[in-house]
Amino acid sequence: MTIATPQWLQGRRALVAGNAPGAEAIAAALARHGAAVVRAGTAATDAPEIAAAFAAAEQSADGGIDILIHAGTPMAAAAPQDIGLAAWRATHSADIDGRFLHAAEFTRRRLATAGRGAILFLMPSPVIAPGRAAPATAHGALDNLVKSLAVEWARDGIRINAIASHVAENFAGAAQAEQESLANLAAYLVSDYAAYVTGCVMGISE
Amino acid sequence: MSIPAHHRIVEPPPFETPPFPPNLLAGRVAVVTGGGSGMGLGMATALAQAGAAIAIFGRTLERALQGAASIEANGGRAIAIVADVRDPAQVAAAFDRAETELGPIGILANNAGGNYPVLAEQMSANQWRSITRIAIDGTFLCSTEFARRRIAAAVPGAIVNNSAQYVWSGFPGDAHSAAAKAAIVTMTAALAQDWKPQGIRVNCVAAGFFPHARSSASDADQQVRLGAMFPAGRVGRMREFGWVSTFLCSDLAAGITGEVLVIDGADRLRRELMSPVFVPPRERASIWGDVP
Repeated sequence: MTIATPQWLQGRRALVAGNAPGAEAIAAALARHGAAVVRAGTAATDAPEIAAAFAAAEQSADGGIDILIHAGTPMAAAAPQDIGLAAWRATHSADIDGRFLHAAEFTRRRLATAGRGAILFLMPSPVIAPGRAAPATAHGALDNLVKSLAVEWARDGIRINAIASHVAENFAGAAQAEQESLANLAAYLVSDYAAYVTGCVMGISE
Repeated sequence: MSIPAHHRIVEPPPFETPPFPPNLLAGRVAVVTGGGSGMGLGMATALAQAGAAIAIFGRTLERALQGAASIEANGGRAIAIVADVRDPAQVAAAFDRAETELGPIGILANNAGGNYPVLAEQMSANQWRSITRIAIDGTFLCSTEFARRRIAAAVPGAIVNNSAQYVWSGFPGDAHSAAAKAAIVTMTAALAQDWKPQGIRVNCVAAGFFPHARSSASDADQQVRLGAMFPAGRVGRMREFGWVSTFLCSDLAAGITGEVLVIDGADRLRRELMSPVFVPPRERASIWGDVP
């Protein structure tokens, strides 16, 4: 159901990184709420490349990026004994390193301007099930990363939260209400209406 | 302890600019248990601001009436009903009266609860029962009464439960409430699964410290000093708690169920590798400690 709401993100500038399919719906929701949105399609894991993406985004949005969404890279289900080190490393690099480097670059730029900011990760769901060794491991690491960064950056006015959900992992397979709620919740969490929400990792309907 | 000027403390938008249009919940009726004061009134006020008509359930008529009057003073519609949520007959009668006066109830906010410091070995059975039964039995009885009516009418519904940020850790001198509020988190997940097929959503807000007229720190100076304890640098503002609770009950969250939203300014994440010397609660001048 579409409800005309007041714009929650007027004057804000968002970089939406990562290539999980839910990222597009979130980018659209942020724009609907008045944010200038720049998409970084690839899930970069190289620090200079990430810094360049921020610089380009700030130029294109005509100002400092004060919202970072990182949608991550969906991880395929696989039997742990068949993954192998190369695939294991590549998967975790895309999902963990990339997010950490984006968050750190985001905050360095925020600190330089003493501006508030909000970060939101779309994360693998916490569900433990066969074939989920890699996403479950990433979930655990990211869960603690979010909570640690929330405390480290709280007094800088920088919040970080996460939506850990099957809707983020398999957007096309989710119900329409779940897809819309993911986008609405994302927009709410990065807005000042959620100014006291930080270090929160929640789902949609896990 | 004051907050250095270079720290960045972010406040929510003012009460007059809520995140929702005034007709978001137009035509909806919401029950808020313990809605006459404190966090329940915070929920009721925000639900009313978004257009819902409110039935406040309270153990004493006087406080429920005060809450209803405060909502009406803001331009909302609210009635006060006396009910002890531990008694299924009183809960059913209160739902009957609310539906007669306001129409079918589509939103339920389970907030009724209490809390006070007491050492576990000195806690009487009645003290234990009073806190746990209001929170656990009350949430269960109101939720099931609500769901039976929604299922009979074949219509969806939304429940939001008021839990607390300390449910994952507990804290000394709080065996009754820490246990009860944790039960609410688990009940949220269980009821959400039971009623997902019927479109009845059940979510939970785990809140940090939101001062109000009846809480232990009501004066502004104490609130600033308390705020300095939290990573976010301030205490919670009741409007942001009410708004996020309203979000979860609204169609904006139509796909969200069984979830816990923590709003605590990172209060629960304060643990450090080094801490002050541990003093057993029994040997403290104040069981819950003093405002810094």
